Order: sequence, then structure tokens, then C-alpha cells
Amino acid sequence: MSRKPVKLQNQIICIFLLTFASILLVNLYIFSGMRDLIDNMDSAYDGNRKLTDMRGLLDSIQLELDDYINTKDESGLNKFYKDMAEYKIIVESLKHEGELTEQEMREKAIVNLSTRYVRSTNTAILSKRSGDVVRYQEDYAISVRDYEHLISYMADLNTKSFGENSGKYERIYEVMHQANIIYSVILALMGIFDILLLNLLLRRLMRPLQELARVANEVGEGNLDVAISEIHDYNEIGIVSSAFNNMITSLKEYIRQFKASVESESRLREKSIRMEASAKEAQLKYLQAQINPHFLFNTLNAGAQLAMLEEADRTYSYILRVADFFRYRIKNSEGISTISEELKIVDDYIYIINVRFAGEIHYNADVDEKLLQTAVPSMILQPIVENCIKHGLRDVEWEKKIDLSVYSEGDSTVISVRDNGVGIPDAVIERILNNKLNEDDSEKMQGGVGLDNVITRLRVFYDRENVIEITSVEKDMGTEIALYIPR
Amino acid sequence: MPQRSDQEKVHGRTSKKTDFHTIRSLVIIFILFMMIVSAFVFLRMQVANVSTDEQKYRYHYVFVGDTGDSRMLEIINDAAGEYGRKSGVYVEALDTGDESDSSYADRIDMAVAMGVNGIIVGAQEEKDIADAVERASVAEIPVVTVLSDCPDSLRKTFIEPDVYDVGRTYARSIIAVAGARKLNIAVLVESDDNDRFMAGLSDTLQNEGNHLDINIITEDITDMPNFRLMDLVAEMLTDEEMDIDMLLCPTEYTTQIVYQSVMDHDLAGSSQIIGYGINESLLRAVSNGEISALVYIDADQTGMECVDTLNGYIDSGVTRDHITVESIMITSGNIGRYLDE
Repeated sequence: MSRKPVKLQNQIICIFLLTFASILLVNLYIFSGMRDLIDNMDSAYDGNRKLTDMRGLLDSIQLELDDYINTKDESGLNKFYKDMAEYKIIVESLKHEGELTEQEMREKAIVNLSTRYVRSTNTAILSKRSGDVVRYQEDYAISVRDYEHLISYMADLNTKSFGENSGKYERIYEVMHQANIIYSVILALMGIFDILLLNLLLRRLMRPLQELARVANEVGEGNLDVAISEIHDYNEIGIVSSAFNNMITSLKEYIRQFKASVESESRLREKSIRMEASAKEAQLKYLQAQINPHFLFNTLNAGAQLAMLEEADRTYSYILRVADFFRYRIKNSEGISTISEELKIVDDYIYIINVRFAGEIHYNADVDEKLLQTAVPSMILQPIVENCIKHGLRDVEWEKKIDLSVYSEGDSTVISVRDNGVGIPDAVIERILNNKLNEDDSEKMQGGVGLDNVITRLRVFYDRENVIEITSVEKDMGTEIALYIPR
Repeated sequence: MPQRSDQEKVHGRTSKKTDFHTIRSLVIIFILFMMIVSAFVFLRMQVANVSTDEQKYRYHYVFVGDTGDSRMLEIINDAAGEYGRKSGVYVEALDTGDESDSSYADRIDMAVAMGVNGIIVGAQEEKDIADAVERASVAEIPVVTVLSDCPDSLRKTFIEPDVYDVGRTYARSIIAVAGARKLNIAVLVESDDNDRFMAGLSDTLQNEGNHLDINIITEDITDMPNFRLMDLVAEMLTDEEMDIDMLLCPTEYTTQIVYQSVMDHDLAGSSQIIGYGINESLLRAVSNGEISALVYIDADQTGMECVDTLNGYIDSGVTRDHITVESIMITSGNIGRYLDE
């Protein structure tokens, strides 16, 4: 069962009040003790003062009695009665009954002596008034004796009391001296006591905060497998600690969910990429498959015509070239070839075309021998050359030329195919490069699909867009298609 | 998981360290608290000690005697006061010494006027005491006399040393301080009641000192003036025929005169002296080896008997007429206690 939270501010105030109250109490106690000692010192000689006062009054009474006895002066008697009344009041204050202390015993003795003295003086005065000389002399003598007893005892007592009180005063003085030292020690001890108490309580109060700081530091360094073990929910620190623990738990849950989400998304993206790659692969194979039957059909027609016309070595050579062409296709079913092989298929293709069109295509190749073994996707040059013949050179009246060159330019190997045909409009070039040839364009170009296929394959293969550049200055000024193969 | 485990270990060590620190602080705080409380209690006790004695008393007795001049009476008075304090009786001394003009009778009359519950009169043989005692008796205040009696008075009890026991104590003192087996001992006697003293002396020497060969000579010094006594002592101690080994003085007065004579004639050490009483000069003489031993009434017992006798009379109305108390021996072996007192 958790306690009701108490404000941190109130707890600190309570700690302060506790130490303050302890110091205050000790000081009050010390003050009270010192006051008692001072009172003791002040009252040490009270008894002597009282006895001295009584003695003075007693002497006055006796003198007044003497005066009256000797002179029978009634006027002095008033003063006698007045002093006697005052003396009786003092004596009355000294009366005690029952079990008594030493001082009370002495005071009781004084009361008894005083009572006898008062009685004897009254008797002496009455005797004096009666005029019986013998009797008043006897009574007066008794009063004098009682007076002497009284002052004798008082003097004796005063001396004795003075000695005792002096001893007491000295003892009080010694105790006061001791008290000064002891109180200083007590105050010093109390100071240490309060400092330790303050330290203990504040440490207890601050410990959860230190624990919170430690755990927060660890969390800040990325370690979420920590928690505040002891949570004292009796102040704001406890509340913050509890909230901090909840925050760590929430953070861990959030991170777990985030990780799961990222992993799931990653799997989906990977799957998507794979599917896309598969689609492109399928598309590539489809496109390659689309080329072969079309070309094969025309080639075989040409071969048939040649065989039909000559039935000789040229036919044989022609069919051989056709056979090489298809062999190359079968051989490069994996989709990767070299520039050298690509050039060979282009040669075969030109030969086949020239057989078909009576050698009207003038083909020239300028190749950097060092680049012949550069790996490239298969069937990228033949479609371009075919595209030159089909669209660039088919309807021209002048000598039909195709120049092919292979050279290095920067980080790339450049394969350039240039014809002197009709050229390609800029809009068509734009659509070719953006793979946006529509059905009409394809039908018009009759080989546009092949070029589009080559561009797509090159971009997929090298994973970059700028793999091809088509340059056609103006109509009838020919076209240059340059492939940029990264090294 | 290992990382978690390490953290738990570190946290555990920190927690243990914190607990240890807390326990240590609590122990120190507790010790400090106890020290502060102890200091307060100590101081409170000191203050209480200087406060007026708050003990309550049932009875108030006065001790009338020359306590200022007589060490013996002073010690008896102190013993009575100490015993009285324990039994709820306040014993107050009414001194009759040189500083007081009052006589014993005056002091007794004063005690009566004070309304005390009992009066102890120490060592006085004044004739007018009997009248004062009678006035006290009329006032129903019991009076006991100590050391010296007031015959033919209405005092309730006389407390004195047992003379036979005094003789026994002298004998034991002789046995204790004897320096040889064969001894010549002179006894200075001055009162009529010597038979019991001598009987106690002889009986004890025969019983407890039968290993000694003792020859006792008695010298009657009754009413002998001081100067004569001093001469006699000097003659005795220098008489080679008498060859006195030990001199016994049965009263304090005699002892004082003998000691003075010995010192005047430079005879200290020629013979052993066993005296009576415990005044300051005699005690110093014992301490210096000039007097071998002192016999002295047991003051503690005497003071106790005074208080008990008065208490008994007040409570029951009856008491014994005569009470004897024992004597004790003071030698160099136990002189320290009496010098301190």
C-alpha cells in the first residue's frame, strides 16, 4: 500500500524544521539550566539576608522595649507594636508543620524562640504597666534572656548558614564553570548531530534522484535494459522515477515495434525488387525471344532465295553465317557477351543483309583492340545496326554507309554506330530514350522495339540511365547512336 | 544478459555501500545523542547536588557541647548527625565553646525554647545543668548525657564508655605495640573507679597476652597539679631502676600532660606511651611515633546510641538509665582515618 505523496518541498522544510527544533530545544534547555544556576546563585544568601533583616528588626524591638521599661514612655510603645507586628509577619512566614527539611527545622526553631520572646515581652510590658517592680524586673529579665537566646541562635545560625551558603555558592560557581564547558560541548555535539542527521535525511531524499540520474545516463548511452529498482512514491522524485520506468518500457516497446515494422518493410521491398527484377528478366527474355523469330524469318527467306539462285559456295557461306548467327544466340543465352562477339554478330548481320540487298550497305568498323574483351549484354549492337538499316538507310538514294567505332572516353567504353540515313526526329529520340514509344511509333519504325529493348537492357544491366546517346542533327544528315559502357 | 548482470552487481554493491553508510551514520548519531543526553544528565546531577538538601526529618535534636574545642565531642556530634540523617533526625550542634558566651544551662534552656524534640549534653559537670535539664523535662523534652553524667537530674540516659572495656582495649593496645616479651608498665590512675579498668586490663593481658611477661606499676595522680605530674613523668621515664617500658594514661587530659612532659624533657622514644582521646596533637603524636597508641570511645557507636536512645524514648516513653559503649584502639596502622576526619 503506497503512501500519499508528500511534496519534496514539504519534506525539505520538515528536515530543516527538525534540525532547527532540535537546536532550539537544546538551546532552551541550556538557557533554562543556566537560569536555574543563576537563580541558585542569587538565592544562595537569601537565608542570611532574611536573618540579618530579622536581627535588625529584633534589635529595634528590644531597644523600644528597653526604652519603655526604663522610661515608661507610651509614645515609644507604638513603634514597638508596629515593629512587633512586622516581626510577627516575618515569623509567620517561617512556620512549618510535619516532616521538615534542615532549613525548615531551623526556621521552626526560630519561630518557637520568637513566640517565646514575643510572649515574654508582652508579659514584661503588662508587668510594667501594673507597677509591680519586682515582677516586671523578673519578666523583663526573662524577655532579655529570650532575646539573647533568639539572637544567639540567629547569630549562630547565620554564621553556620553563611558557611554553608558560601560552600554552596562556591559549588554553584564551580558547576556554572563546568556548565559553560559542558554546554559548549553539547552545542558542538548538537551541531555535529544535526549535520549528520541532515546528511542522512538528505541522502535518503536524494538517493532516488541519484538513482534516476544514473539510470537516465545509462539510457542516454543507449542501454534500455535498465530500470530504477527502488521507487519511493512519497514525493515527486518517486513519481518521476515511476514515470521514467514507464517511459523506458514504452520506449522499448516502441523500438521493438519500429524494428518489426522496418524488417517487415525491408522484406516487402526486397520482395518487390526481386519481383521487379524477375519481371525485367522475363521482359528481357521476352524481348530477346521477340527478336529471334523475326530475324530468323527474314534470314531464312534470304538464304532460300540465295540457295534458289546460285546453289553454290556463296549459299553455303550464307547459311554458314546464318548458322553462326543462331549459334551465337544459343551460346549467349546467359545474356552476357563481349564487344568482340558483338562485333562478330554485327559482321554476320551485315553480310546477311548485303546478301539480301546486293551489297548496298557499306559497313566500316574502327575498333580499339584493347576494348574487345569488354563485357556487355548480348545482342546490343545488332539491333542498333538493324535499326540503322531498317529506318535510316532503307529509303535513301545515296550510298548507304554504317560506321562503327569502339573507343575509350573517360570512365566509359564508347560504342558508336553512325549511319548516313534520313535521321530521327528529336521527338522520336526523346520517346526512344524515355522508353515511351507507342504502338504507332513501333509500327512506323519497324525496329524501334528492338532499340527500345536494347536501351532497357543496358539500363537494367548497368543500373544507370545515361548509357545511350542518340544524335541526329537534322533530316537526311544521318544518325549516331553511342553506347556508354562503364568500365 | 551478462551486461544486465554486471549492472545488477554494480547496483548491488552501491546499495550495500549506501546501507553501510546509513547504518554507520545512524550509529554515530545514536552515540552523539547518548553523549548529549549523558552531558545533560551529568549537569543536572551536578546542579541537583548543589541544591539545598531536601531530606525531610521527623525530629530535631540539639547537641549541647564544647564541639569547637573537643575533638571527641565534635566527632561524636558528627557521628550522631550522620546517623540521625539516615534515620530521619536532624541533629544540630549548639556550641558552648569559647566563641559562645552561653553556658550549658543556657543552651539547654535555648533548646527548650526552640521546641526541639531531644537534647544531647556532652561532657559537662556544671551544677546548674540539673535545673536546666529539669526545665527541659517539664517541657517534655528528653535529655541524654554523654561522656560525663549529670547525676541527680532528670536526664533520661547517660552514655559513657565501658570502663572494663576501656581496660581491655588498653591491654590489646599493649599486646599490639609491645616491642619485647618482658615489659614494665606504669599506669597513671586518677579516679576512684580504677578497679574495673584494672580488671579489664589484667584479665585481657592474662587471656590474650599470656605470652608476655608484664609487670604493672600504678601511680595515683589524683588532684596532682600539672607541673608535678610533668615532673613525675620525667622521673619515672628516666629512673633506671623502674625501667618503664610503657606508660598508660587513662584520660585525655593526663595523656596530654604526659605527652607534653615527654616532649619537654626530650624523652620521646625512651618508653612507649598509650594514651586516651583523639585531639589533633595526640593524633599527630601517634602519626609521628611519639605515642604508640590511643584508646578512644567508639564515637560512631556513641553518636548512634544518642540518637537511638532519644528516638526510643520519644516513640515508646521508656529508656535505660545507663548505656555503655565500646572503645577502640588507634595506632599508626589506622591513624589515617582519624586524621582525615
